[in-house]
Amino acid sequence: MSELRFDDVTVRYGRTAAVDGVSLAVPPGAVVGLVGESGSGKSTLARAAVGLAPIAGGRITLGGVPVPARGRSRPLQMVFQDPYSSLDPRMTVGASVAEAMPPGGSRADRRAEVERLLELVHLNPACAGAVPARLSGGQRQRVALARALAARPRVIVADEITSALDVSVQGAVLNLVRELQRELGLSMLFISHNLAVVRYVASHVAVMRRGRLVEQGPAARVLTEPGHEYTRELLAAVPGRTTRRSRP
Amino acid sequence: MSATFIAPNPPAGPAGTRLRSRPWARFAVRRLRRLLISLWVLVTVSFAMIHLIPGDPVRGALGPTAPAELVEAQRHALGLDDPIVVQYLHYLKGLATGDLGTSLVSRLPVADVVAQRLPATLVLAVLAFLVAVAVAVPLGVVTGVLTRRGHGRRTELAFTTTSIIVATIPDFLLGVALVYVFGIELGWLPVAGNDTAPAYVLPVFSLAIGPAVILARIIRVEMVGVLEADFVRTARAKRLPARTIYAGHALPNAVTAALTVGGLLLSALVAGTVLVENVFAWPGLGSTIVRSILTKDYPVVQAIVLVYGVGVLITNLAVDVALALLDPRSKIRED
Repeated sequence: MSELRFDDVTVRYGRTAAVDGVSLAVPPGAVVGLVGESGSGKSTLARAAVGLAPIAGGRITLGGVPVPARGRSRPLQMVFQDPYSSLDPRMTVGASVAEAMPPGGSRADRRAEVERLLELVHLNPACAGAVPARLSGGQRQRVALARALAARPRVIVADEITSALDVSVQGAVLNLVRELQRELGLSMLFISHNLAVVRYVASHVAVMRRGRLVEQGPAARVLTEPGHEYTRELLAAVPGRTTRRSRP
Repeated sequence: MSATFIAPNPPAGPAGTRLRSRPWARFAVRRLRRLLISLWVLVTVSFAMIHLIPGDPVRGALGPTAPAELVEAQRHALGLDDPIVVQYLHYLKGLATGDLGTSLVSRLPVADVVAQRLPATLVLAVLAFLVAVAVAVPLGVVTGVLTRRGHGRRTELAFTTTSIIVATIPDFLLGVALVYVFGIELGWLPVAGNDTAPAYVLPVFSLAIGPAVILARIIRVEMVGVLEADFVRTARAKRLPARTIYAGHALPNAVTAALTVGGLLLSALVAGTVLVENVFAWPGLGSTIVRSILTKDYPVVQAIVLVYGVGVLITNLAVDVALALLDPRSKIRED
């Protein structure tokens, strides 16, 4: 297991710094929740990690080695927000999962691995022959998780993976994430604007605002005794919740 | 770990009829019904054609100096002196038995004339379609990749301007220009007939270039859209090679959307053979129908109109089936 580190990472779009000097660590086997309002730069940071956004400054390392921005090496895998559009509509579920697997192995081995991965995310292996249109949103997000696991990543970046789902389905997917993390010892950067969701899955929490990291630490401390005013505002905005003010 | 599996959504409910539970059968019945209705309209229009022509078609064909007895005998031979309903029923019966009547000019069975000329037209249309697709797909994909996300503004402007100019040139005019340049001025290619392979080049290209650039424009727009799709971003996140992203993910999705327009272009291309065949003296149905119109050989005109109409209907049917097969959202793929 390796630590994913962002050291003073900056991502610019034109003259705007979407991510501005962010330093953050995802320890091995830990789930770090990254929270913040829309446009705070959390998804851009995630995309920079998997090479989908260009880094203007700083570096991203995995186990002390820079994460390759190009090439076939796939140590980080990302699961995207919208399960309805993130899977190729023409490709069967099995082909989509198999495509992410490292090259090599016989056809039978690859098929068996696809079935194992589908079972791992609680999908019937018979789903392998179906196109995404035949699956529900929750099922598709399970496929997206299986697809990410197929690449045998060292870290998974989950970008708002429950926000496009119904509340009842969100719970099932979150339980699956927790289960997978516990059983496989996955390291995960879990991005969400929903603090309740982050509290449920993350052991550490980092808070972003306007491209900058304003606070980070163990989830129990950050979510109960926030040290930054913005974190308090976020917690106060959660319906039906009262925030315990941190002592000065 | 729990062994609770989630199965894919079930197809049509078991309570439905046998037909309802078979999307392919349902699709076939629905499409066949539409085809039969279109065919009936086409047959009726082609039958009505001879009666809508001003004046007496037989007199028109035989000329003003033909004796009245000859005109009357011809009218009787064609059954034009029967009541209209009887004529219609005879026409339907003839079609069912492959009897399309007799040419007023050559006295040959019209079915023989069609059978003799149809292969040349089919070859011309199919070759032109293949060339159009072979040009349009790579051209549309490459320009789509080069002009995605607002890149390559000059390339986009050059492509869209050139393609719209080329697309607006009528194919017969393009044919005349190609004949002048490559046949007369340069002398590289034959300008008429279909005896040798080089004789195919100018007719095929004059028929294919217009549809090719229109199709390329559509594929470019689809590619630009598909390359922005989330599943392509997923493919990039998988770190797949560029050729897999473009050829494996983007192109099939772009082409599925372009297929509908491709089918319409193919239908237009079938009809376009009429004028192009006349420019290049191509021995097909197109040149025959124009000659028959000039000589007022109505049974031949009637039969060729019918053949062209059937060609368009078959093309539309093929596109519908292809779309049903290729579109993953198609309901008929559920079983």
